[in-house]
Amino acid sequence: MSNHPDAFTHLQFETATNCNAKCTFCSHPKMKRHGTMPLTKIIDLTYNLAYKAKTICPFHMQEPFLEPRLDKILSNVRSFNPQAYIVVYTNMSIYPEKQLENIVKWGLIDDLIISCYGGTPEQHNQMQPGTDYNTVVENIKRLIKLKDKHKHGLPNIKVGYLITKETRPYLNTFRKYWADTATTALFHYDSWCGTKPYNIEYEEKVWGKSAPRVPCFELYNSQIIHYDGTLVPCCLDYNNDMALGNVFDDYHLWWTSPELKEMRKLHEQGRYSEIIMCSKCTKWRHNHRVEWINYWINKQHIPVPSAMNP
Amino acid sequence: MLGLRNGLVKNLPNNKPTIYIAIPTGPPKAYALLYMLASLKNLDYPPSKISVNFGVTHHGSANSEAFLQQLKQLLSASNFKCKTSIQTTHPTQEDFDRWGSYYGVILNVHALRLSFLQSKTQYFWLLGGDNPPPRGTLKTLLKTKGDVVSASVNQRSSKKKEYKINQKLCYPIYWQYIWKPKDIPMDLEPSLRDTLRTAWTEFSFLDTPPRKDGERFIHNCVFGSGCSLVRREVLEYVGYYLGSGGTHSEDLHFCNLVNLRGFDTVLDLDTRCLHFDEDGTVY
Repeated sequence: MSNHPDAFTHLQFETATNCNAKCTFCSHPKMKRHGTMPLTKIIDLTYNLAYKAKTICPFHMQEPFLEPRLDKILSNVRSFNPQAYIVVYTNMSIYPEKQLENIVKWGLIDDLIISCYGGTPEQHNQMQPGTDYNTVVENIKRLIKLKDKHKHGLPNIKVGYLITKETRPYLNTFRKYWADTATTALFHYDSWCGTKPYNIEYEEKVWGKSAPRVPCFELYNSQIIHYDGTLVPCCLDYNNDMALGNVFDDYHLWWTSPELKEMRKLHEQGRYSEIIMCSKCTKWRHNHRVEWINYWINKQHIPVPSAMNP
Repeated sequence: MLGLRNGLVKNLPNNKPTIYIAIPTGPPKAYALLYMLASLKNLDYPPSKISVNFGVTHHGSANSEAFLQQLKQLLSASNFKCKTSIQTTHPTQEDFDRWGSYYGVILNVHALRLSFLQSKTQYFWLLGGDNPPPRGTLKTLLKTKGDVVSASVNQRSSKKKEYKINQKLCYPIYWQYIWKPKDIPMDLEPSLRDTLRTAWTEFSFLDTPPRKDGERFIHNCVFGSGCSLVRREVLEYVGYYLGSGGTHSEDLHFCNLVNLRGFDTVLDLDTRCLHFDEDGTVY
């Protein structure tokens, strides 16, 4: 297995499926799957897969701060692979005090990326119903204080901002607000494979011309695992439309799945339209890694992708 | 239960916590199997509150199969009044590439850890395959406050001269510090990595505990897992594996992680567990 030509650098798995927000740009409200992965399965999964990954996102279609086992899960991930870069996305509307204390004290998260979208409190609350702008901001500041208290560099706090027609005018205000306290990160709006409205002209006006389409990075690098062990080829496949099988039956599935091999082949031949989800994908247009595109264009050797850093 | 509330009724079996006894073993420890079963039969603890769980690494060889069959027979014949189980693991080349010569014990204890966490048992009592506990050990360990409480395990002798000398000094086993060879990368060819690790293992850094007069317990320290009682919550956070920097062994790495996570490790210098040798010598 270690000699397999495909690189596996990114592991993302779902420990539960609950979220307190109903964000307008997210497909979580449309999700038909709901459940929780038992702790023993999480430990076994991380034992078998985490040590091979360079970046790990231990949570997927869920709000991690609702996870009562948050610090236990992160402790296991960190101990199985201390070198891996651990990234967690949250809306930060909840502040699990005791767990965050442990997480900061033990340095269990490298990047904490906070979805704090919207240029004004009203816009935020409209875009992310179920969360409150003022509470989110207060929680971020509280976490920064906690970091200062422990004199710990981790987690790197990155406050995210989604660029849309409505939020773009407030971008500078957002940047100025966080300039002295946290790093900011900008996010592309995505159509979730055609399930959300998408305006190519607007996106190209903001981000520039779409990148040339090359085989998808995720197919060669990411293992996305849902709460019941279902392996999917794409992080946008929230309803298991392209389920490849169950990793709890075989942890080598990502390397052996004939469906995944076939999808890679179709991508390499430029036959994206033959895979329904890929035919509607918009993520490739701007959410790309330059070195990955260069590899396919220039036929260079496969580069080691840099740590996930939007 | 008025009596219970008032403390009038003491030592009711129902008050005792439940214990998952985990014994990773295999053909190299076959000589100690009968001693282990005898000591577990002799244990001073209600059978309804314990379960005896062996972990066996099965290499697919005739030797492994013979050991497994022997264990099954003896376990059945021992007629335990508590629940018993045998967790069998089947290592692959990938396991060896990952863990070197520690692959057997790591796989074994990983399987036992998962089996324990699937149950609702409160404590995980890890015993070395050749460390049969004396009758009162469990009760004594339970009385000690701590997240991981270990009895002292007598060091087994070695044919090597220096170990024979150390055996007098090193009683009980106690590690003064953890060795972290950062210069041994995990991606080294397994046999080379193992050779380097073994070289360090051979180097004696076991020592007599710095025992002051009347002192019985040492806190926040690092010890082997020959006889250690672990609170459930600890195993939800960490398990028995090797660190990526090539830490000495899985049990020492475990103690290190336990301390890092803010739990309390306690070594009881007065409670001792035996250590059997192949020739039947007891240490």
